Amino acid sequence: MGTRTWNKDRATKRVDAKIDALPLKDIEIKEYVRDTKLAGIANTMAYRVDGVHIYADILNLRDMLNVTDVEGETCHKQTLRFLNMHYRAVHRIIGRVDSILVDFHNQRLHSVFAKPYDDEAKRVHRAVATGQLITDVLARTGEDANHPAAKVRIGIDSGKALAVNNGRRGHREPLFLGEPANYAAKRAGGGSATGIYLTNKARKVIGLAEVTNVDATPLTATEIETSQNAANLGVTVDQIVNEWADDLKNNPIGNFEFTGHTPPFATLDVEGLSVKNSRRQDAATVYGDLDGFTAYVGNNIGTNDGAKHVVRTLHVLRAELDAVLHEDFQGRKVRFIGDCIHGLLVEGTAQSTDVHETISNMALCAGAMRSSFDLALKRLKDKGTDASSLGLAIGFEYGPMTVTRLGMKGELIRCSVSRGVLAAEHEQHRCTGKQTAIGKVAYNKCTHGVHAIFGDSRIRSNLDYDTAVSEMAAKDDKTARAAKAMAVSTLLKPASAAAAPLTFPDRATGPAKPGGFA
Amino acid sequence: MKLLLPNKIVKRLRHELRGRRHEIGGVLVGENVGPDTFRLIDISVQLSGGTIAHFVRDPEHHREFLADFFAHTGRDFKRFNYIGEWHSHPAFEAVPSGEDIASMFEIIEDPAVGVNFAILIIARLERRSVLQLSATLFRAGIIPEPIEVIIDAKTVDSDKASLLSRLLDFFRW
Repeated sequence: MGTRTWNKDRATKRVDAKIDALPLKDIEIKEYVRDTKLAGIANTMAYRVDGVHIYADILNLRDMLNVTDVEGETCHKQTLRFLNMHYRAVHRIIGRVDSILVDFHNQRLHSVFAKPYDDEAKRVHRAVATGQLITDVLARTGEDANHPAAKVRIGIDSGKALAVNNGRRGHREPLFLGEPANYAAKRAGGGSATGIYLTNKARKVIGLAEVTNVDATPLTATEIETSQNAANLGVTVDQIVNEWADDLKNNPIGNFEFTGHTPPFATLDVEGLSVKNSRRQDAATVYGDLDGFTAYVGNNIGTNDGAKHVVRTLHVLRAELDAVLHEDFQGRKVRFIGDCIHGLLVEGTAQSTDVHETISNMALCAGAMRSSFDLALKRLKDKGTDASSLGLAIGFEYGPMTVTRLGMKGELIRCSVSRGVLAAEHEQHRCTGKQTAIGKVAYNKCTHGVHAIFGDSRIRSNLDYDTAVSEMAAKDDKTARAAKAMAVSTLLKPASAAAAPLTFPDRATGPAKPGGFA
Repeated sequence: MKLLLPNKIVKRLRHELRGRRHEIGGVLVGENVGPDTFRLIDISVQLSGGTIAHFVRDPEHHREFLADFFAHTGRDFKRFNYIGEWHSHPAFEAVPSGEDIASMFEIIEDPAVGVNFAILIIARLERRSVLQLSATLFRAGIIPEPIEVIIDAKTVDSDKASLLSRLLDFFRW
């Protein structure tokens, strides 16, 4: 186990290099026009896309994860199989209705209708009809008693968003930034009732009256039927279900096979994972979300200059949060979810996780993320990009974690789902842009040092790296003590500066108190 | 710094580490044989106090070992003395962790210990018989540096020495 530390000089060099790689003059903002390819957008490019955003949330994923009292392999296998079957079905739908598949993130699908280009009402109708198609198909793609039908809640909004590159290598799908993506997601996540929920803006586009509470007012059956008739998708539930069943017969999902990854997760090749080569072990998981980013995009998307700053800010902040997790703390990013990073971290062995070490390092990593975030905002401002309205909300949790890839062969999507993942996301949601929260399980298993920094509310404001190290070390947290020693070691003189010969003193020596080693 | 490592200690480490999944460790005693050159004379072994990823060295466990060593070497402290610490990494590579570094600095900065340097040896047994070692020198205010380790040829020979000479060695202690 090596020590995981954050260092201001190292972070400054990284941030400056990233900012310098994105000079404003090199960033191009273009209008999305007919048949523009949105896959593989360059980091210095963004498209302004007028589209309808649809989010589909499977509400009963949590029920799947709770089918057994203990969160063992069985419940994880059932949940992943449940998701895999539904990913395949939804992937088939998206391919048939000519929308852009943006992302699956565990129980949540995001897709965008950019066509027809000159008819916003038609786009909304298509989104509504597709939402109903997804709901009806997923109600029938439960396989057996272990896999209940999915309960789906759909959120839809319409408007202009900025499409940017969402990652490197295998992850070249676009990321859509802005209000319509955010508001559609909020409607999908806005309650526990199924149905199709439109923002008032989207309702007006198709001639529906505004409502007081959009999250409590699903479309009626008649309204949905009107949209289905207007959209005329040309594909039926039966067709999709039959094709899905044929595909399942020809390409069976197989049994999930889990092994533990030898820590750290930094060495995990996520792109090499599959159903038969999945990982499962006790670990920590983190969500770090840019708070206020939708408003920041909304305020800047209107002008090319403003949009360039949005692109620069997003890439710099996300890259630095990833670097803290991966380079400084040897964790692994599962994925970026819009303006949020989701990652994993583990210490110990493949068979036996070091619980204290893992949670303490996660706490230090969360502190380091905030330190780097604050540093990056300052460096961005110094170089002409003011993103000081942004905050960072961080939530993390500990428990059995899975990592695999699901979906269609050749287009597998990273997935890490467990009770702890949902809990970490929940913890992040209860934070403001200055807060960090620890989940209940992690709080119950952590050292006194971690306990002390979070307190009974399990939430802490302005927890940066130096604060985390000094407060945890003061409570004799060995991970923080080691981090502190490493920080001091950067102030040491090089060995070549020492001229004094090595000698024994003329008295008996030897250790006077217990020494901890790892 | 040069550290002469007798082959018998290599064998002893290999023997102690075999089959152990938890960390073990102890203290090191040595002889100053020349400018910045030391020979490792013996190691103490504490089999308790370790987990798969952690080891706590208890000074009480090694007090008698040190007392015997000082008595056998005629209390010639400037030549024979405590020289540092060792422990195993059964599950990790044989390099110091951050906690190891923190603990070593605590030792050399502790007036009750009274040393101006200390070495840390980390040992790992791979494939049941291949011994991996790292040796690191710690001095107050100085960046830790790797030590040049030389397997001590004299003690290789002594391993092959006759029973009589080994008995003589025994009584010399």
